[in-house]
Amino acid sequence: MLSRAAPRRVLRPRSVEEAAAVLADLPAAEVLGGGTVALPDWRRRGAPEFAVHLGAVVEPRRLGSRECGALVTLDELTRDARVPTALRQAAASVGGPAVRAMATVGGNVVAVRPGCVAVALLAVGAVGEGRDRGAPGESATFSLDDLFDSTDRLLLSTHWQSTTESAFAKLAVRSAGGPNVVSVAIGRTADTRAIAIGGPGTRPHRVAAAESDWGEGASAADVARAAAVGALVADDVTATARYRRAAVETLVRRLITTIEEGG
Amino acid sequence: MTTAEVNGRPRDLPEDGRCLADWIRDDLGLTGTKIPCGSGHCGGCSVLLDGRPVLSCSTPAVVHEDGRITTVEGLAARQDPLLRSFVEHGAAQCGYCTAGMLVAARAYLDECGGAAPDEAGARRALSGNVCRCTGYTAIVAAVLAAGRECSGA
Ligand SMILES: Cc1cc2nc3c(=O)[nH]c(=O)nc-3n(C[C@H](O)[C@H](O)[C@H](O)COP(=O)(O)OP(=O)(O)OC[C@H]3O[C@@H](n4cnc5c(N)ncnc54)[C@H](O)[C@@H]3O)c2cc1C
Ligand code: FES
Ligand code: FES
Repeated sequence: MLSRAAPRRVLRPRSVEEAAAVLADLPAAEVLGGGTVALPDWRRRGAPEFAVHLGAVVEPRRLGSRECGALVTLDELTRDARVPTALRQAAASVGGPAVRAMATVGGNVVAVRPGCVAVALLAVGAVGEGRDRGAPGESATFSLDDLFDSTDRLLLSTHWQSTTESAFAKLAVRSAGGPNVVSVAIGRTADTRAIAIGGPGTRPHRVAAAESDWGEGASAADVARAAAVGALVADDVTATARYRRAAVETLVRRLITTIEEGG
Repeated sequence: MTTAEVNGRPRDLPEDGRCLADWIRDDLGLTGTKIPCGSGHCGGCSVLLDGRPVLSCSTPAVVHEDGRITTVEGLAARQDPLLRSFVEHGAAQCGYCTAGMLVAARAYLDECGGAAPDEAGARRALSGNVCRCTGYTAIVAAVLAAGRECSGA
């Protein structure tokens, strides 16, 4: 029989200030997004006494051409033409319709399992806005890396500066819910280039050497080779690190070619 | 006490953080919704929330104040043509996945908005629902047939 572990209460603050104060008062309380990672975890490992859900707060629901709230669902992201292509493609690649209707951008960034949307956000140069649980009264800006796996930050929204040409692709064993092999996103502005890699067993990360090769006009094939060399990937039951590098090389080459050909 | 509407009836939500599936099954006695995996991976626990499929094993009931929830019992009560079509096409064997399949299929047919459904769309809509018995062919055929019936095509 399944364990029935559940929090004693789910608190639903009405404002950012109230949410920050609750989280400061209850250090063991867990922030809840859509629950697609948290609830199965609670069942396996036991639930916290309190969870905090931001559904009644306005700020984390905002979505625009340069901003995505933490509570925006992946389904909403796929349907909004204003957001960069890589974000829409990454969101559409996650699970089936029922997962996307619940899973949030905040949960994708913080849980990074495997963080497909987080990879796309890295490629468009996004940062997070929110509160540090140790300093609940002050707004804070976080790098995405600071948010990955963090339990002491409340993420309210993600922002990116400029409209970027971007694209995302991933290799997975099965389209909806099968283990991911690797995910890749790239982004380009007039003067920046970003290539981000993610997948099981690795935190989403950028590959600096490949990015500078791209910026200096190297061919898509050369940039892709450099990305494969720089990618931090691991062996697991789904794929070897060698296979993952080969996948990174193929996906990066395809994405750069697509963007450069204006597709 | 906060409430949500389940199959058209207002119901008091629990105060604790139990998941939607446990509340629906244990408190409301609507045991048509199954919990085959409890980890978000099979889609068998799907219910409609405001017309969209969600995994009832992976969301606390209490956060769905004023939500409109439809379970497989709700589809049966309004004699949804999908149910008859599943029977006619032999689209269930053990039946463990069936409630989730029906709910996901209803969301898809509603999204078609009266237009005839197509196989690729139906397969995409059911991509998060796992069946260990039937191999999907009969399920997809049942959804397409019910969709044609609804659209008059
Ligand atoms: C079948 C299936 C397939 C999946 N496939 C993929 C996939 O291909 N790619 C992928 O990236 N993911 C995948 N996932 C994982 C998951 O659905 C996503 O990562 C999802 O976006 C997590 O968001 P959530 O809102 O459900 O997180 P939750 O479960 O609500 O939260 C996860 C964690 O993040 C923390 N958190 C949530 N929101 C905040 C916030 N605003 N501030 C601070 N902390 C917060 C929570 O405390 C918790 O620790 C899949 C899941 C399932 C069930
Ligand atoms: S029981 Fe909810 S997805 Fe399997
Ligand atoms: S009929 Fe047995 S799992 Fe689908």
